[in-house]
Amino acid sequence: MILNVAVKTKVSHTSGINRLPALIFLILLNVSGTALSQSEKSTIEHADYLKKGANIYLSGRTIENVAYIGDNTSKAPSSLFPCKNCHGIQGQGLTEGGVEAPDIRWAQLAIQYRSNKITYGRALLKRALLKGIDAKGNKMSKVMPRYLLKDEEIDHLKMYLRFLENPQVKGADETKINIAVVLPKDTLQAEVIRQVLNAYFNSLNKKGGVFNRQINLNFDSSKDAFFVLNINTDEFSHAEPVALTVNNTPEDISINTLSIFKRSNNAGRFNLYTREHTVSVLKQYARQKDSNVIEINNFNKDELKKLFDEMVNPAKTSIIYTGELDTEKLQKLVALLGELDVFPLLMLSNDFYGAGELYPGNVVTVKPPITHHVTKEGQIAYIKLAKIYDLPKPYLTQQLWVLGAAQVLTEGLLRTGHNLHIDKLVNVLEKFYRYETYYGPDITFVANQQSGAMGGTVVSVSKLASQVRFTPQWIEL
Amino acid sequence: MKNIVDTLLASLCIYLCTLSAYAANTSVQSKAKVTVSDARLKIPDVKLFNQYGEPVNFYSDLVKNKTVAINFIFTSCGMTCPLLGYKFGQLQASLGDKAGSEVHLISVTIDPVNDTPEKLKNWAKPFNNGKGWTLVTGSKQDVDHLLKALETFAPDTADHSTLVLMGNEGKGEWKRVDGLSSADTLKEALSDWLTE
Repeated sequence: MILNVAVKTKVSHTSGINRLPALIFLILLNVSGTALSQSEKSTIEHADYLKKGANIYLSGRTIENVAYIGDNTSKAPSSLFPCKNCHGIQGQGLTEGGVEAPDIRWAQLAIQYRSNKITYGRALLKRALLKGIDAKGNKMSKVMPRYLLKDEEIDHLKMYLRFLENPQVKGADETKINIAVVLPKDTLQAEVIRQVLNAYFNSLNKKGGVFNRQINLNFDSSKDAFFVLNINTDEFSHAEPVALTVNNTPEDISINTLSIFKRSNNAGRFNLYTREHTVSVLKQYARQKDSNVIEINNFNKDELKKLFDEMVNPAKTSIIYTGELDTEKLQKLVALLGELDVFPLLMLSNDFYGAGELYPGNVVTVKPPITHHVTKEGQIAYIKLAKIYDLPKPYLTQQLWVLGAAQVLTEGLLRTGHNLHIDKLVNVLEKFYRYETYYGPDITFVANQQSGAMGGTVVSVSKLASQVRFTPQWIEL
Repeated sequence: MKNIVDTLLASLCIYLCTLSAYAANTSVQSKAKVTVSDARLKIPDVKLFNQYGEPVNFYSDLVKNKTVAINFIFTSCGMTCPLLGYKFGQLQASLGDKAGSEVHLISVTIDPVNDTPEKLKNWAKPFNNGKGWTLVTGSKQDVDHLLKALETFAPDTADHSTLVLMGNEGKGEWKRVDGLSSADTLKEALSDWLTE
């Protein structure tokens, strides 16, 4: 919901006490049936109001579930237009598509109208939401839908807007950012990762940290962490050797973090793929197609002919090509297969974006996740770090992945800016597109763990129709 | 001297032409609350996919010789895109049988990296996406190429345009309308190309 206030201030975050868990704790204590004091009753009522207000703000679901669009000309479900969509999860306001939704945290509304000695009470807030007239009597933007809220819902929402005045930044202040690290169970591997991360962040801290905040690593607990760097390879399948996850431990759940917690199930996670993983995804896909799999990293006519001659059912064959490839080479491979009159499922395990459209013929091209080797810069940076901090030799690949993850996190923190908030960081991370870590594959944010948003396309070309056919969806892992 | 007079006359002529063009533009704006652009668009025939995952050639299948209204959205956009979707849903309803026959509504994702056909389909469901309204995605390369050709490309999705590009390709007539206007305004902007 957009309240049309002209003033838009910078979001400032101060650390505060997480109030909601305490309130819920109080409620739980009283389940036993002991008589409640007046203040306890009021506390419970407060928590209930907050919960209901949060529900309206975050989901847009109201009792009537009605919003009027475009100066009351048409009606739509209010759940299509929750307040948070425009004003942000913290109420700080957002700008998008040239439309500016202002800061509507209660303090901002109060500052704006204090000079006129007008404050939003229930009636004025209701008028603003339903009629689109602000406390001063000005008409508000038509872009904002009008909401039909009952009186008690107005009170709930008002309480929540007050709550948003004190956004909480857990695990960070002006001098430090606490990062929890989840290590693998393998003791030696865990020790190596610990040393690498200590080396990387020590080196970063010596250079001034991030906006003069030092990065503190905690390897034992995610309590009081701003962010969790999860490098527990045992916890994840091969698909996710390293994952960056937002802090979603149970003790962190509060109204403020709930939505982030929910989002983190799909979003806020970044996969660093290996070529081996790419191949395993392709094999998995081939098996779904009930297909034989041939893995090659180079080719010539005789060898391919021999391979296909030996096949019981050449029509049901997948070729996974793991070698380096350019357009010319791919064209040659496709032409060769055509000459041999075989039309296998052809899968490319490198980043060959756009290849599918070039080739008429009965060829299916699976464009897998982006993979790259460590770059020269990455090698130099690693060697330098390894020398200064005397890094161990085992698990070199894991060390590089970990450095890649640390690099992504650092870049995310830098792009988030000085005004730190977990939600801002998640938004920033979600915008990563082909970010070069130098230590491994470049990073593109992939929602819902798709097999590389850039590379998950399955392209097939029908022999009869001689035209490209695309599968309806990207491949899901 | 003659040269000076000629130059002055030429300048006056340009000035008057500019004035009359401005006046013509303003009168259209005030009538239908739309901005009219005469610019002839060169629309690339990029291969995209509709919300059902079927391949479509943007120009030859969706735009060529048709009257179209094109908006630009992405499914993770919270603020203006749900409104743009809602308006398109209303426009589609208001057009009735003309949607899909006389007018074709097209939504192009500006975030093809994340917007799969399935996501587009689910996104449009609450807006009663139906006959005559196609949503398209594709490779980033192709979609960016298309957006640049339609002059709606923005490097940052947050800066995306809320306009609706309307036109009759056969006649080479195009206009840009505020996509947040009411469905009636959008329909009115299309009226030149609709049968009574």
